[in-house]
Amino acid sequence: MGILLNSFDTLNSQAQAQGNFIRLHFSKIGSSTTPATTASGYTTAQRSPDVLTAPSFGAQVGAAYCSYCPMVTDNASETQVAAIEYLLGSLTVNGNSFSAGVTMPTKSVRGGSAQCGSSMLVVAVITNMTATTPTLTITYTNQDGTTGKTATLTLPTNATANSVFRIDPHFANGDTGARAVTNISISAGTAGTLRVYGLLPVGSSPQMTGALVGSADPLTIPIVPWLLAAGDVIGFYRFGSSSPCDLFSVIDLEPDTP
Amino acid sequence: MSAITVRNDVFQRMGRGLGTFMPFLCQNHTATTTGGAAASGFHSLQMFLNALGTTQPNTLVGLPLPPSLSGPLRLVLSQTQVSSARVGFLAYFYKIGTVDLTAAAGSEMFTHDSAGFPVKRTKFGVANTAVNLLPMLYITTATATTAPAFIIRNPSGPAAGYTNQAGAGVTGTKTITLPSATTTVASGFMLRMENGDSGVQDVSNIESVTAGSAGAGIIFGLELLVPLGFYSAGLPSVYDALFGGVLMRDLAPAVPTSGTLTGYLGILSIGTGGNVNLGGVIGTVLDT
Repeated sequence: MGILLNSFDTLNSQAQAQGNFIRLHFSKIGSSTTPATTASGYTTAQRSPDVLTAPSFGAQVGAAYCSYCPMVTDNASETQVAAIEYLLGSLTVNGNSFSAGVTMPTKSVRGGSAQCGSSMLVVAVITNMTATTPTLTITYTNQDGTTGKTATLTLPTNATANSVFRIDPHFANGDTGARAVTNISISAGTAGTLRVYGLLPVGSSPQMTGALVGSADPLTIPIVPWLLAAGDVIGFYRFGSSSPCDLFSVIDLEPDTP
Repeated sequence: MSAITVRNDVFQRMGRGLGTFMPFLCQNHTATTTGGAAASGFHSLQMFLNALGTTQPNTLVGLPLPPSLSGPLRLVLSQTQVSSARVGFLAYFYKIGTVDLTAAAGSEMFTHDSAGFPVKRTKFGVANTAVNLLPMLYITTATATTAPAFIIRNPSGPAAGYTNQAGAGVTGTKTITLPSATTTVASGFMLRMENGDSGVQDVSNIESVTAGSAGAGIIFGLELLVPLGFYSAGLPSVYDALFGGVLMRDLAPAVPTSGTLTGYLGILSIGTGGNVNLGGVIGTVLDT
């Protein structure tokens, strides 16, 4: 992986030489989702079904860095988060059928190679659920590689599509992240599909009033400067609200050197 | 993995999932709180807790953290916004005890919580150092008819009513009078300490000076962790603990001298009332 983040000069020169990738991204959550509870994440959240995929790279580009990521909705009292998302596992409620996903990747982090653990772990409702206060049990490998850890949530009844529930507050003692999900099971229900995503955030925008965006340039705040691989998927999450919304964002990816 | 020694270690650990990126939403949950006055400690305080699960004044839910960690969970970043101008501090609210604002004049009105104070954590390399707290009265039952007044001292003597930042017992002399005969629930007031004092390690006694016909409250000791921002409505605030402030505070609660401590991680709002939303993200790293 390259040297893009060694200096602003390199960042600028590489962007000028190779061209950047900038998109105005629009996504819509058309109907209300299901609020969280203290047994299911503590903070109400949503996931937009519309994602953005990092492009393929030319020979002189080894990775992409998100240098700009403001987000705003037509609502308020919420915080938007854009994150590289990894589908770690999914569950079909009818039949309690688990499908394995990927393992969190190894990425370059400021000169070192890191076996990533999730910075956020969430479960997203993909299709409407029919289930009365079901207990959801996620079996995962934690940030240190220890297998067989479990997190348990009690989901609200009949959670609707695009609802999201944070798993992090319900981790097993001592855990702060996950590398993989090895099983998901549910105690009750006849319909719905769920996905567990491991997230690596690349941008965040608090928006507590009107359309005033509280984003900060990722270069200026101490978050991990994640490098995206070609084909990496950026998902858009909204924390604090369950109402329908239109979400706009601007994503600027800068090319890293090979 | 080795402990944090240089700043790049923070990114390496966060990259491995040793830390969290935590979006949150806090509210005061009560539309109208009573503003402070000079005789009540000047400032108007509010306790902003997790938006879900909290029903002030009696059901309080702090911001959640991953459970039972193996080491300090240090704050790296906060990025927040609020819909109304105020000052915000990330803080722990430790319950020291309760007050009966209807207690007869001249009598004791304070009941200490079962947890033993001072609360402690490592300070300047010394383990189990007493933490200095900001004393706050939080109203749980609205007052009526008369504005209650009190002094932080033991009515027998009088004698000491609190332990100050130096560990000395202090007999209060200042009368603290609530700003209204009808002070509303969830209102908060900074208790007036004696001149020269900057914090309390414990509160032991409070003497009623004027009894209200109704009213009750909790005395919290506030441990201020980091300033989140001096907010103007809608303008964001970023707190960079890694490069800007070098204040990678441990978000784990302090440890009581004895018993089980009741405490809430939340946001102390100073300046104005109203039920507004304060939210954003907090980034942390586990320092084992």
